Amino acid sequence: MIENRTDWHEAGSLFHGVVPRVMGTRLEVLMVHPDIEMLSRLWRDVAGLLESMDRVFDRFAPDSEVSRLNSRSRDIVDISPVMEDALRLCGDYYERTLHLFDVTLGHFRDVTVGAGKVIFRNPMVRLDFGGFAKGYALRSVRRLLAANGVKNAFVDFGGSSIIGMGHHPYGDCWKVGFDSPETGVRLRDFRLYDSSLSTSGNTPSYSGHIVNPLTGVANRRKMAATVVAGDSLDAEVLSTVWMIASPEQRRQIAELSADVEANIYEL
Amino acid sequence: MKSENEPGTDLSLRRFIKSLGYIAGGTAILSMAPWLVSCTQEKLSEIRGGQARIAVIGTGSRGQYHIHNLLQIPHARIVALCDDYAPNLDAASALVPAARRYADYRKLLEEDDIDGVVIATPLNWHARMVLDGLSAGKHVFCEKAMARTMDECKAIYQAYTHSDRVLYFCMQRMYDEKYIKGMQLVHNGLIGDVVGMRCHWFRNADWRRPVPSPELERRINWRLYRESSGGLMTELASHQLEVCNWAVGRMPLSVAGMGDIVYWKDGREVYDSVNVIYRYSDGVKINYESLISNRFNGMEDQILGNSGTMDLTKGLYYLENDNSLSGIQQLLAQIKEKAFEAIPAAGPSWRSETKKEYPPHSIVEGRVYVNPGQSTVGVDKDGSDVILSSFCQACITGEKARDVVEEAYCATLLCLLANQAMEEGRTVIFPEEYRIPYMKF
Repeated sequence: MIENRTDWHEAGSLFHGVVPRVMGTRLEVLMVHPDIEMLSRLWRDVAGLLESMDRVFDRFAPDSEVSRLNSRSRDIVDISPVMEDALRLCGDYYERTLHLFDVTLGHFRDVTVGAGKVIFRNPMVRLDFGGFAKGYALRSVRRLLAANGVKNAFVDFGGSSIIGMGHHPYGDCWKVGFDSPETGVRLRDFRLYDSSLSTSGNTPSYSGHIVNPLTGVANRRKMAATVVAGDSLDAEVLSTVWMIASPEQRRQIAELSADVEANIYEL
Repeated sequence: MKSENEPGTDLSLRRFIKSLGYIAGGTAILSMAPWLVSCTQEKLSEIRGGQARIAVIGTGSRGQYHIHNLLQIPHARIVALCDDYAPNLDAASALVPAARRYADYRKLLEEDDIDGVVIATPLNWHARMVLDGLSAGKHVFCEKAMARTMDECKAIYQAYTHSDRVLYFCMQRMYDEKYIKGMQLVHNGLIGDVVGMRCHWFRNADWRRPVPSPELERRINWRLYRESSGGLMTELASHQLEVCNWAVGRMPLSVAGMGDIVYWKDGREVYDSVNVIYRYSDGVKINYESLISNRFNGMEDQILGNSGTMDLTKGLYYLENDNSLSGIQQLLAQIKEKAFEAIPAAGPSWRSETKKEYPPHSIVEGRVYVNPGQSTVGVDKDGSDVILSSFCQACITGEKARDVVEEAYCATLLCLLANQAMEEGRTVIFPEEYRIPYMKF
């Protein structure tokens, strides 16, 4: 079983679970429900689900399915049902986003999916589910919680992908603030009620781009995007797309996407 | 590398003070680091077009490092070079062909067209050169440590207090942005009460320079002999002890330690391994360690507080109870209080996704220059360029930099007292006769 830990707060019927390392980040769940036995079983299923998703999508693990596809020796490769589902969805988003969402970075038209197989018409094509997998996993987590009768829950995947199911014990929704990573100033408050928030940005925190104030090397332009959507995968995909789309492309994509509130921030 | 610069205002100094958040007329930074007054934009505009005529005494590796920095400073012009070792003088002349050459620094000090001298000679030469420089009416910038003995340090300090000349010692951390901002955070209480300090400097090198013939051994490898060097304490620890005093605003009362030659048994006289503990009046301690036969731990200057840790070398700090760890942790606390508030999303995925129990926070925005501590000459952007530029400016304005000499005096005395404690194998109390009004215990 993947590394995880939990704590139970009887007074408020709060179950808190943490998977500290999955898909390169951390997942935390807060579920409000009185049945600790059911919640414990459910949590084991959630952890198991994440572990299996990691085995599909983690391109840094040499034995993951995506690594196997990326190091293929043939053009036609058998794939798991999860991978087939994911690639079909990637195809849908590829069209809906005017080709701005592309897990192959420019070659999705060379990929065909069907009948438990994927066909690559270009040997150079590599898959990277970076802007997809967390949203995809969250969608499954949410279904699992709903199927077990959990109505009120908060799920935080790496701080950048969040689901609010139902509402806070003392409120009518879950309130989340988005702060500028540059200044810490609150840029926007969101009220999540059976909806998802995804954030994306191109500003580094430590690694490099600059300002060496002593030499005056100019900063790169800093921006961020947030998307609130009914579906966590929509939010995940569109928050990345919003970072690279032109205003006109954003307008066109918004027309194709129902139930989505997207914002862009110049930092 | 430019050999001559247009006279003008040093933009890098302007950018430096601007990056510290100094607003014209503002006092927050200046009350905390008063030596930076001479770097303010108001002061910089005073020297517009002025140029300090600088001589460099001691043109070995560190002297040449300063020459490279001087050549980048528009308000400085190198007019003379001095070294009694011809290969070093030749190397410096190649960098500044127009500068006059001297083998005797006293001859150089007689010249009227020199405003300031930069001294980068062996430690046992510092005192006489600094004192002669001030007597000759020159402004003086000298490498650390201050001097080889406590009496020499005291003589320099007294000469300085009676002189109208400017004196700097190369305490570059006082001019290093991440140290200044980090100290501001410490003094503003970010890490709580300072409860301890840990500094170390590890290298794996013999600290030797090649010697063309045996009679030059003690001159070239002066760092290895007690006559001319305080070893690891004066050459490395002096910077770090200054940082510790800066953090707590006081001087330690006592010091104990052990020093040995553990690995480099090549005829040297100074320790290659030192472990020293300084104790302040309230029991706070500096744990200092330096070893030059293993470099695994590199260099660190850590200020430990009851609610956080300032890792100044890397420009990072860590909090003991870090509420940025998890939004859900905050939610849980909130629900227990029956409160309904917005919790912050930890931010877009560029923010450290693989959080550990102690997530690091940057002291300074943007690129941070980290000195890995392995160079025996100097590194870029560690404040050495800024302090030198500030000195050249002071050569024009005649304005002394507050606290720099005092900090150098305090730090050097701590180094020399540690050597005494190690040699005598006992705890040494700070001696009354070397106290100066600046010191608080």
